[in-house]
Amino acid sequence: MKTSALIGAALLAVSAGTAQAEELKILGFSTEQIETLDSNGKVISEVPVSTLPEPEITVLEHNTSLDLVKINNASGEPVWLDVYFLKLNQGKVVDLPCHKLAETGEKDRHETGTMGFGGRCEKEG
Amino acid sequence: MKAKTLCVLAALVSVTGCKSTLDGAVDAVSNLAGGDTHSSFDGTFIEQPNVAEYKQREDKLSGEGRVISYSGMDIPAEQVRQSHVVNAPELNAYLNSILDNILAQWDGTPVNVQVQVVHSQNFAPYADAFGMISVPIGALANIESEDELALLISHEVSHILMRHHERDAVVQQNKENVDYVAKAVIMANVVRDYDMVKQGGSRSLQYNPSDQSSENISQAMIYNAVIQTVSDSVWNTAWKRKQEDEADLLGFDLAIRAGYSPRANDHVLERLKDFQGKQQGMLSKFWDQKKAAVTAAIQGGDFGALSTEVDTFLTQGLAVGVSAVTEYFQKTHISPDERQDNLKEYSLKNYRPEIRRRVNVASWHDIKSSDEVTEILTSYRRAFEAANALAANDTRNAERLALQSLTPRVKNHPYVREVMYNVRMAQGDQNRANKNLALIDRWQDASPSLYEVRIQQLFNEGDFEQALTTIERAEEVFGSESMFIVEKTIALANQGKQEEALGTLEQCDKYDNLKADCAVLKEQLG
Repeated sequence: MKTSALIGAALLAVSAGTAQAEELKILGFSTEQIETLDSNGKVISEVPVSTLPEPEITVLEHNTSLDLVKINNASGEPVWLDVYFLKLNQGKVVDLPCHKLAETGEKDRHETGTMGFGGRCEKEG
Repeated sequence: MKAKTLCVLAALVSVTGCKSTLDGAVDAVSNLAGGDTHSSFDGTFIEQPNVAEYKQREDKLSGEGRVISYSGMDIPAEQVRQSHVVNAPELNAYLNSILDNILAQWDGTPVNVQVQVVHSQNFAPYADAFGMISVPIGALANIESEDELALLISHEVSHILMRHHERDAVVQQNKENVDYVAKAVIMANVVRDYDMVKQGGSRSLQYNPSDQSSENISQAMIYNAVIQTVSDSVWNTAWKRKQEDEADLLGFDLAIRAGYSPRANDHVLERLKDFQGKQQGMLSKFWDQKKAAVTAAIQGGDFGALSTEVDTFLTQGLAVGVSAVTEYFQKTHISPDERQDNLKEYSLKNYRPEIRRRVNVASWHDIKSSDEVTEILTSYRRAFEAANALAANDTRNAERLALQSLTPRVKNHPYVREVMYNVRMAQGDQNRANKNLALIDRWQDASPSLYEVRIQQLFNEGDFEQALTTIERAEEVFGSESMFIVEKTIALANQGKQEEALGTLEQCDKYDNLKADCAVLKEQLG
């Protein structure tokens, strides 16, 4: 399955299910040590996260197929990191039709742009 | 005692019974906090001694064959599914093949488990105590890989494998709350329209439906249809923290051993978090609206001297209900963030090589793109949007969307016909509304509330014979004789079958929450 998964992932760049409204940032790390990778996901080195810039770190590029993000390291050089070891400011979302009661003529609306609590649906009276 | 008094008492007893159940729900949701399970052992969870004790079993779920029938069972009303089942053979086969992959990793006694699709726009699947895992349309519309589906299903299978349904009464206490209010409206309005009449030497119940009752019932059904579509698994998923942790860990072990990617766990928990945030706002509004609708319905019901007491009980019952729901959503019992962190730590400790696996978006993309699945997802979405428009009093758009949902494969599915029925009722066109019920071709897939509508329709038409047939079918489909016991009594009594009606009421003794209602009916018939 895994070979087909990689091929499939490469063919199907998935972006629709991820929040896209704001700039993607790294908020933290799940490990003390993290691998730096090339653009194909090949390991270049393993470094302490303390050698990377302090979060929040702006993501320069996001490869959704390989689940990698590109950032500039402390020296200003671009490196790729595996998303699994990162905490990002955006994640996968669901598309749920907003509902507004007792209001006529309401057009269909959908909410796809937030991660977590406090989305637009909740705020509307 | 007059029939109106009878109905008030029935409503009163029902509401007080509800209050106690809702109190239980508040207790249950308050009982969700606890310590972390994931960091209390070394190695994988599936190899732990406390899991080994569940690997040998001999009970109703032992075995293989994946054939689950509720017929002949005596399932309490609160455990019966509330959603419509979605007839989707191709999709079912795919989901059950994922289930097979997962179950193949379980080195214990085989269990008879099955996956079905339900109409809810919720995100989280749920498992019942009888081995059925229900995957909402809302989950299928939003996930992007087979790995996500596998993690979701694996989590639910794990609740069954760890026998959580046996070990805790939380699920049994919780489920009826969201569904209760509409039922209360219907019963209060139906029963009040009965009069006790003498026929020869015996007395019988005679049904004279009023316009006000029909309107109240219709409005209750509109709200009920919407709230069920987004909330069915709210109470099903109200496990205790320890149980949720166990299902997370065992589900993770099984899915990863089946070859799926640990990354998918992050994806489903992120989506769950996003869904819960959006659902909270929606349900709050529905609860506010339902509270107003129920109060208006009861107040419109000329209950005479007892109306103040009814109002008091109703208000208290609703207040507790709203409080239970609100507390559930505000409770940080196990946030998706925390679950994600726990399983991340667990995977880094035990599944480092497997982390390199990427999720398989291709296989799910192929299934999702098939004619069957595309049509089903689109049509059910349209029907849900129509139900939303209807609840917002936007009948014009509701009709447009409901008509769009009637595509060739699904046009006679219970859910889309229920929505169309509600649209026609909102338009004041009872005849066209009823035609939608007649067009349903798989009543075994329909929800209990749609059966309720059908039974009331047949009562309205005075067709008590067909009503009885429908009730008996519902008993078989849901494996529950208690759900429609009052209606069954009414149907029998109106066919002059007093002895059978009384015999049906005798069954009430088995159900604590029905005893008082049935005692009142028994007195009237006896």
